[in-house]
Amino acid sequence: MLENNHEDMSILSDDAFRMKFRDWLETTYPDEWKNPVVFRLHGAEETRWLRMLCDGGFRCPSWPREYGGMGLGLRKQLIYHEELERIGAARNVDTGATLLGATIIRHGTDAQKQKYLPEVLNGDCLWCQGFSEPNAGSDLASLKTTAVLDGDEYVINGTKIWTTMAPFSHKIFLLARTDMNAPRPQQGISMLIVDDMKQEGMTVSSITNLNGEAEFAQVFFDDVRIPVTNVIYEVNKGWDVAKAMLGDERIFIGSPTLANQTFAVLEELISKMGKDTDTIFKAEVAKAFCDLNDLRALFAQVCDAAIRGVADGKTYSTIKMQASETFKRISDTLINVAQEYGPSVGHPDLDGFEKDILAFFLIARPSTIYGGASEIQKTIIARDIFGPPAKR
Amino acid sequence: MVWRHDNEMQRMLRDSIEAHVSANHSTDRVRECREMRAGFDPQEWRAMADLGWTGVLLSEENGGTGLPLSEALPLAEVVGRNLIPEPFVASAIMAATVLNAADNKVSQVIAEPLADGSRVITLAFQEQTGMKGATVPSVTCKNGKLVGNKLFVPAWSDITDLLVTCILDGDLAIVFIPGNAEGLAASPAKMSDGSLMTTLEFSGVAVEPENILLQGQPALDALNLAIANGTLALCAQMEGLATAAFEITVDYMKSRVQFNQPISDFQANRFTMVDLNGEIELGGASWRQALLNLDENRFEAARVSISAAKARCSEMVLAVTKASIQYHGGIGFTEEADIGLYLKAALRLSPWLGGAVYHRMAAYDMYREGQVDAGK
Repeated sequence: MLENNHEDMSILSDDAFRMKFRDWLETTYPDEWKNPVVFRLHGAEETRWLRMLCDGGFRCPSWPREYGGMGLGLRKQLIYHEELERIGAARNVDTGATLLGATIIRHGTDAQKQKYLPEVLNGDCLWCQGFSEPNAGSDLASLKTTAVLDGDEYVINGTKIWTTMAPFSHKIFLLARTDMNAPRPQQGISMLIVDDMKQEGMTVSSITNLNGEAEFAQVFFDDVRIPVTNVIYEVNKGWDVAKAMLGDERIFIGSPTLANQTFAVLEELISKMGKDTDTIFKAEVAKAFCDLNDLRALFAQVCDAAIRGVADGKTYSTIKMQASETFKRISDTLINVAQEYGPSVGHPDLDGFEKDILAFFLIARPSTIYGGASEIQKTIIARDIFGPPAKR
Repeated sequence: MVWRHDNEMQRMLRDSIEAHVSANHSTDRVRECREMRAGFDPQEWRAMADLGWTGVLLSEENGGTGLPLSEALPLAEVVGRNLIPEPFVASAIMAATVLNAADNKVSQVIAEPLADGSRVITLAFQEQTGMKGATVPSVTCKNGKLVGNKLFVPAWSDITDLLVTCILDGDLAIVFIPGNAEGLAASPAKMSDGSLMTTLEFSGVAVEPENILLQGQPALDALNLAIANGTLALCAQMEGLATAAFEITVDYMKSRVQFNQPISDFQANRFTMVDLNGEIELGGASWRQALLNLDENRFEAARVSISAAKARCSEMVLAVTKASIQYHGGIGFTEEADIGLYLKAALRLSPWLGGAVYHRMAAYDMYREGQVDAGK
């Protein structure tokens, strides 16, 4: 019943698949959404986009076909992302497919698969992820939200923060403490599902970010009751589930797409400013160009390694950190080169230039914070290089 | 870099050179070579030839094994990693590329002593700092006489012969000149790693007609390819050098205790080393991508990516070796500590064939020219 009835594109040649998706995007992708980096699909827009993908047979590239996905290997998934970048597609988080769906497929019960996967596929249900708390960011294992068993229900109390797209989501999966006496903080945590963001005891308080968008939120849980069947995998094993959540797809957070698209705007800007032959500014742009070139090379080689199954945690951490730091650095160059125009709200008052460079700069800020801050990635890599530091 | 894999041929070559190196090479030998006149040991050059390294790129007609560049680069990495002072890149990569392009009876005669290690061949093409104008020499060959100066010629020694770029009948040409030719004056300058960079003055050196190896477009193509191959090999050598210095420093940091803990436990030190590790990864990725572009004959894309790779690797090798000195503390500033050898080798390799500042701008300029050509 979950089986994908569309053509099996996993058996096409890489080129044939690329052209098929490209053709579809060129005829289908709405022009008004072609605004990379700055524009992100929210709520009804995201549902519309996911439904379009679903109808076209291009939904959930990494999911197996038996669950309605495209069943693509990593190489074709990369092509899929390259083509989205090529058309200038807007960002969308799609937490339901990449995080929740992948986890349900790996660890969920049959009932959970039947219940949750179809509505993710057709875009009817948008999900958000409740991990971070006000006092548990990088140190996630210190989270304090609790879920206490009461008959055949869990009662959740606590709060989550920086919950991306919470104001637009229908459901949330979260980490909560189910065993208060576990010896280590990573133990005694479970992954739970709340089926309705509007159910009794739930409060979503949106937070406006530095770029003026209210797309993340603080979520409060006040005696929120969920059935015991809403535990993903096993009780008290939520930490393990969370760690395994992304698998191979971790690689996409290290994609050079954002850096690439920001560099394209940088080129347009210096040309519009008539600075493309100015030696001082050219040196800055040349540095950005080489950074991007080398990031792309590293990403291509890490992808090859991932396809061969030999990419390790250190490698994923390296590419995530390099991609986000490079994105941020190139957006810095954008602002530096723009000089007085840099802080323009909307877009600089330059004839024929309509890119919101301030938004590029601001949107780049959290890229080295979310998905494991750069400092966390460095800690992981350092442990690989030196071993763990002595406990004091 | 566990996620990077050699193919079978690369692994065989790497195993062969590593076995030889661990049996015959040490930092003591690096120090001995620094005191030698040429900065390297002709005996060891011959031993390397016996193992096939000097002929690795030379075509079979030229007495070599004719392997593609990609198979030869693991050797360059090992040369870098072990600070091997013999002129592998200058001679076995760059001069060999020119000889392969010439590929005639004369080039075979010239190549044979390179393949057997009795001679070193080096390419004299530079006349100023940086790579700008590298293919438009002012040295001329008129009426069979070579006149002009070459700067920064590597691998000069008693057993070195020359391939010299010049203008002949208005065209670029590459001619063979024996090292002991009449009218050739060499002024070698000692470099930080003990090697020589030599200024050559040609005052009417006789050029035998058969020693005009290449002329016109073939000469230009050969020179460009020699520089491209040499630059990539140099990148591989610098990655090897930086990786070795990094590993030595990591070991030292784990053993050096201050404030009752190894200095490798301090987060500031750990994060700096992670950043440098990232630079090594980017450098390694960058030259491998450039090599792929060159292999696929996308020479235009290769030019851009080769320059980007050289910029990254040149900067990275200095950053790593300078930090290595810092983390060794006072001992790092002594002549006795080996880590200083890595810094001094890095100083020599980093600017050769164009440094970071030059190549960053060159990469971007060539990329923009490419865009203009493509009508963008």
